[in-house]
Amino acid sequence: MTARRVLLLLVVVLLGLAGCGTQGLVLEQPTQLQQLRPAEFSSTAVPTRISWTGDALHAGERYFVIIDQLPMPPGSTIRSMTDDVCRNTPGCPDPTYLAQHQMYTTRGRTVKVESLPLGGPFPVKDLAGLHAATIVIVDRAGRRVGEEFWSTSFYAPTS
Amino acid sequence: MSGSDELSPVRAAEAALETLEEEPAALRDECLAVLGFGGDDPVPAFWGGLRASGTPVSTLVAVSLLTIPLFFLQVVFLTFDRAIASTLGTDPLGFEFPGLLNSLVIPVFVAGVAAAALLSAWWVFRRRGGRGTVLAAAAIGCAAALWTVSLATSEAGLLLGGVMSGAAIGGAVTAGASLLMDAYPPGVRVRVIAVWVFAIALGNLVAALVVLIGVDAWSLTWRGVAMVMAACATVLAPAALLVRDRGVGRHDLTRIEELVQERVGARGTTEAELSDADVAIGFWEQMRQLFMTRSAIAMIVVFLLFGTVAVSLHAFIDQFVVARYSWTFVDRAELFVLLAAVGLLPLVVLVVRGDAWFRADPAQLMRVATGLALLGAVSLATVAVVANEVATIVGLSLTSLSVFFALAVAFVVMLSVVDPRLRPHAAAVAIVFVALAALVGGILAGQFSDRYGVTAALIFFAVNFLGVGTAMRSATDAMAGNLDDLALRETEREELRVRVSSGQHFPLLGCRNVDFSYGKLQVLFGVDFTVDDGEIVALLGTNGAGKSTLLKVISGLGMPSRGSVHFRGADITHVDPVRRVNYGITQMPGGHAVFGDMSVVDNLRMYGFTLRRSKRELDRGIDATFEAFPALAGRRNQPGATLSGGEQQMLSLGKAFILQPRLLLIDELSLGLAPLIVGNLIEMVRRINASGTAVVVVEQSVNIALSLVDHAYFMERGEMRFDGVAAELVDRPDLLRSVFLEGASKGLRAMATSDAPVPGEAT
Repeated sequence: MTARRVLLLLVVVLLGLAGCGTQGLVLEQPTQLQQLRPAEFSSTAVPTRISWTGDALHAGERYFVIIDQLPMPPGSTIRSMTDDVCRNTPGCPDPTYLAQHQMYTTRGRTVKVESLPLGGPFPVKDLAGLHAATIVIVDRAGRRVGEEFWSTSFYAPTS
Repeated sequence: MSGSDELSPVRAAEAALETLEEEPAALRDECLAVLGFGGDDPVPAFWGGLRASGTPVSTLVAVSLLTIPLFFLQVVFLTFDRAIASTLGTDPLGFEFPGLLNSLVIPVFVAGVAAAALLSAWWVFRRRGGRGTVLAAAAIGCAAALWTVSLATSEAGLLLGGVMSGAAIGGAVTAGASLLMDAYPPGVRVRVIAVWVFAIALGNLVAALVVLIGVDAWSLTWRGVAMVMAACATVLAPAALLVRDRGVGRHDLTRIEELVQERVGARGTTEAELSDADVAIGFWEQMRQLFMTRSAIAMIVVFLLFGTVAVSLHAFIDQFVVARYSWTFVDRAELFVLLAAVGLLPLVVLVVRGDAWFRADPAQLMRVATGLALLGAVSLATVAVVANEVATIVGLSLTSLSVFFALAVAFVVMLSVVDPRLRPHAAAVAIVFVALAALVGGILAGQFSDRYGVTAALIFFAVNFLGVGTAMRSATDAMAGNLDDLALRETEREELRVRVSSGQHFPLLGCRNVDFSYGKLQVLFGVDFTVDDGEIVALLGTNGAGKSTLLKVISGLGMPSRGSVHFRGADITHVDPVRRVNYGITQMPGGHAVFGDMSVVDNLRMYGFTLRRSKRELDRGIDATFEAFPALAGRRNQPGATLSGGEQQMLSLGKAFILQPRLLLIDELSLGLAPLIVGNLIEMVRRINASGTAVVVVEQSVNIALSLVDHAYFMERGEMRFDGVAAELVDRPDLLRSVFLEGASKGLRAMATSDAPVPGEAT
């Protein structure tokens, strides 16, 4: 193997390892939140409520609930979930913007979802009515804290 | 065929080759038994057979242990795609629900498989072994991939894990499967491969159990599960130290060598004029040889169809039971444990009975695999259309029965029907096609699923299972012919060495039993053709008889699907055409084979380019050409395209002066040329022949050919119909009438009696 190939291999490995870490990795399922509703694969009507029991918040933290989307990476802010227009607008995202995009922040244990995206996140035809709610924790600045998440999938007619 | 005693040296040489052909035919059955097909020897007990092989049993144990964790990472990706995406968050690589199947990880994984499989096969080819090193690297790569993914905090970590895992699979399958086939004797091989595939299936079961127990009992996340798997892979990796590789094709080649030596009573101690090293074929030549084996092609189709099913089916079963029955994660994990456990059952039968079935009749084993594949197809189709949970579990279990059994049989057959030297290549090609098909199959099934529902995806998989069965059936049909050819070629090769050592004379060129096809159209059928040193022979026949094709086979521009080509005492059947020029074979193609835009002198220089002749040698050859053909000398700087037809033929003949071959193949010397020109060319061919070059002249014109040669061959519809004294051909109106005008035959008869050749008269 030539030196150039070894160097190339090394660069690839280092780039890959740059995408690894040992801090804050969650190896066990987080149990602070329980009884997510709607229950897995249950049917519900729109508007619907996403609710849970338990508490996983520390001071200044909030729950960030998103429907049919992936959450932002740990350390990223809610703003990273918004479009360019919002990012360039002072005060955005506000609760109205977030609700229009099926995203909610709360310190409580429930959010009301007024409408659901068309089709849902699953491209499979049979799963067209299946929606997914994911809950993560954000800090005061809207930054995702840790990599814990809780999720539930439920059937609902799209609005 | 007819012959004559007048050509005693040629006849003697042909007789030697015929003996050579007869001996292997007699040895063929014994050789097939050596390769594991037929024979009266009882199948040995498994452990006894392993111990008697000379390779430690620990090699089988080690390779199998290393195989167990190979596919762990795929289970992590397929099971936790959504969880991984939710943990890592961002979606720049196409991480969307349902996840990683749509991402870059899968193509990167497939690229890793392909690159590592081919590199491993090349490494083994270069080292003539060294598979222990490949397996050790694969074991480390497999464990490292799992650790990397379990610690990934972004897509980069997943991609690195994916490519390392792919590379580990590519290397381990290539090295592992071929090593086990080479290390142990035929009497236990089916069981050895069954144990190896059992280890893959066991790995599948272990992974399913780790997922179920990890999530349900230990409440682990995907990271935790991946770490448990990584720990397993790390613990198993040192097993690579136990692997012993004694060389590619070791058992088979040694046994065939012994067999021939016993039969002939001598050893092949000296090498032919062209040594084994001279004609040793390269990696890609071997790869081409693999793709010339019909049953290997059929098995590659099996692997392709298998790949579309085996890898992606898991993901779509997962979607199916969610869509139809809303099964929870744990329900699905339990289902996959059940399916993995059921998949082991037929392998147990194969581990016990495999070699007995295979020895009795390899086709029987294929038929069982075909039957199971068809059962899998029907079961999967039933699952798709019957909305019942019990029917789904039973149907999927029946499908599982066939998956690993088909894989084991496919590997056994693939690695048994190819030349033992090609086993690493065959294993590499198999896993590359499985991986590619997994990618394409996943995408296609995803399209069906998105557009028509997951039921349609299951129907797609059922059709693929049907394809696996059909392709296996097709491979069964092709297998007998391939095995005969393999046995014949191996024994012929060894016997040739023995006879060359004993000083027996062999012709310069010998084609034996050559078949050739353009795609599915076979144009040569068992053709024998011989040319002795310094001889000049004519190859006659009509258009489409296969004359030019036979020249292509000799010069290497076409590779035979069966049979062998020997030159200067060595087997050059699969050697590249450029190397054959180095050995001394030069072809002058039919028609006006010059580079039209290049000058005459540049055309001549171009001929010398092949052999990298020195400038001085090249200039000497060019001078000789101009001396032989003064008409060309005056046009040395003129473009080739501006020469007349005759001058272009002269220029083509210049090749012989530049390359000074041992064998010159001339295709259609006289086509479309005036008699006077043809006369000149014939004279020149005689001079080339007189300088020691053997010449084969392909002609449609019988009288031109007979004016030039004493020995003629006549071809019709791809078969050799005449081989003998040229003048005797005139007394075969049955041949000539079918081809030429009867008048020509009469004219030739007159010509033969008057001994006055009339060159240039095309018939």
